[in-house]
Amino acid sequence: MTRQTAKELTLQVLIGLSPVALGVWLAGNLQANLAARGLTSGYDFLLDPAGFAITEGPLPYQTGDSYLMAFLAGAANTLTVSIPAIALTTLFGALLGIAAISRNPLLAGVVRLYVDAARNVPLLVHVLLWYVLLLTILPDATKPFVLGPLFLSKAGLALPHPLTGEWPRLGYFGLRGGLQVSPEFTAIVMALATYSAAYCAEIVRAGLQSVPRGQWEAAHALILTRWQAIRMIVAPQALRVILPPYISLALNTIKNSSLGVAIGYPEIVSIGTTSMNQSGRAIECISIIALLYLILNIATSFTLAIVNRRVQIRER
Amino acid sequence: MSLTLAPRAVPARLTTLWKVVAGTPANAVLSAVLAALILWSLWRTLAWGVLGSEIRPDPDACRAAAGACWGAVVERGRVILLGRFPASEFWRPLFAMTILAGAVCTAALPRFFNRIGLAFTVAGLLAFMALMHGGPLGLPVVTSDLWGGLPLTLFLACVACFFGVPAGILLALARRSRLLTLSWLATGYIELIRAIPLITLLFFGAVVMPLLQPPQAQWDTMARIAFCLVAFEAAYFAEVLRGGLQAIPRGQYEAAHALGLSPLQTIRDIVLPQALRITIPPTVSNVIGVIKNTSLVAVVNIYDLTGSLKVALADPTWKHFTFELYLLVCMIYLVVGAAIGRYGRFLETRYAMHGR
Repeated sequence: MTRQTAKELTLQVLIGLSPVALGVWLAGNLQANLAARGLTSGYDFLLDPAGFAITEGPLPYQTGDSYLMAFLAGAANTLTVSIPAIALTTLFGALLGIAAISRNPLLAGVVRLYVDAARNVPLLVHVLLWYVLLLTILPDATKPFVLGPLFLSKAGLALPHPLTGEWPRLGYFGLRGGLQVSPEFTAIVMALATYSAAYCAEIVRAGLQSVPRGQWEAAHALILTRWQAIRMIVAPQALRVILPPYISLALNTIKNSSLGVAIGYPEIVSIGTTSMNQSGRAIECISIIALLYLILNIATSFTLAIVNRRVQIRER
Repeated sequence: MSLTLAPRAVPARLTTLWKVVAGTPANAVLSAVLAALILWSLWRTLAWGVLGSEIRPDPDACRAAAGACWGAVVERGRVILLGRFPASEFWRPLFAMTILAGAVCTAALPRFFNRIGLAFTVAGLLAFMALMHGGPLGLPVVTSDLWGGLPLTLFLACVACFFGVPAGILLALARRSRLLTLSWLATGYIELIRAIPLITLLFFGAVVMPLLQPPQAQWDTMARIAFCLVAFEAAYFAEVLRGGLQAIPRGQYEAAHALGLSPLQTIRDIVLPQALRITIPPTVSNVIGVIKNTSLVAVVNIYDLTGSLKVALADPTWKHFTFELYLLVCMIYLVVGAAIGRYGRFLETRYAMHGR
């Protein structure tokens, strides 16, 4: 027995040392490559001024601010697209999921068709298609398409500012004031929402169907309507099944917002690759992107895990 | 005795159908609206795609037409399907794709779930690379930066699955290992990869990997990107399989031990076959995910199906007919995805675990 343990211990130490060996080898290669290309390394560049502009975002970043500020602005932009995208995903997904279990075969069929089509086309194609559609179908900024409080044009979406209440006005060169949203932002949010909503619909449908038939029948016996049965009896129980996959869907949506880089929306990956080209510090920039995503991921799953714990059944 | 008076004229199935379609006033309105919407969109699709469409690859005729411009698809379709591959050598990617698809489809037949199927797949992948590159066969050399289109999408997806699934199995086993350092390393790797978006990893492959490889042994971009795809998908396959491994009862291990099987035999002959069976549905959706994920290589300037769509649209003559070209690409992804989904359901029924 002791011999077995000693053998295992040696094996464990060897396995533990292997990444160290790999790291040493990679570091050696890195030094040779950097020296050959005349590059330097280190995170000191973060305080240097970044020579590029960021077109939009909630943080007041200006050209010439430090790389650190640029990365923070990128992280803020990732959140700025992810939050409305997750909200819309949840809304569309819940509606589609409920519609998918409708007894009306027409409604269920249309939802099935949408869910299958949206899930089988890559998200990147969704993003590019939304962007192209926004840029080709919508009118020019000087004559926006007005839909109640929404002003849609090639310059993006303008709506009354939710905080100040100021409405956009039509100026000489297009819309001014209010809350202006770029076409890139609109495209990535809509693409994420339409793509993830299909997955969310499947999660909601599976959750609703996981509730035992007896619950539906009991609700029916209490002369609740079908809608009341879903709202008061089935949905609260389905929530416990829905929440874990929904959490990973929300995390995926945050990660998927990185596709903004394909249409030039300045989120983390986009800022990271621009910084990489400008500063030449490739490893550093990639590691910062990975670190920011790790933090976002851990923070989100931590918050949602608390929510998850609160809705689970507490057994006696 | 009211029971005898109940009308029994309409067959039961028709009444049920009528009830679910138009049972209540609200339901009847919903059905009417949906039916009208479906008919309207069918009519619009027909009017746009067939009646008003233009098949000649002539941009002026297309602009005059009221509907779709299939001429754009005819004209730019080659670029979308085959990317930037030299036009004189177009037979090579087509032939290579046929060989690869044929080999993989053969290996997907249950009777070839053995060494022969494995040999077929390896031969298909090697033949694909040889034909595309051309060097070993005495054909003009086409470097991998010119490969593209549907053949490249299928090739990258095959490589990602061919290496990603075994790597995922090893990772999943390592994560559940009794050796703590091994388990920690596997867990750390899987969680790190799953936390970051694939795009980040692809940028790592495109920009950072050249710095980490020995100066005298640098891979080309295609190899690095394929490596990153494998590294990414392995973590996801590992997580899927972990679910299956966790579902195997302890008794199975104990029974294998009692039969005198070694740990390796237990894993290979008892645990893995059962775990793989349970995980057929999530593995299949992962495989469809791999095909969709390969589209991201377009962001690091590799011209797969999605990447060559961008190349095709760069031609100013045809840039007004974007939608038709997008439709072509969407249809290809839909057909491939639907085919794999159908194959998955076939596997599921064939290898269903009948509970006792």
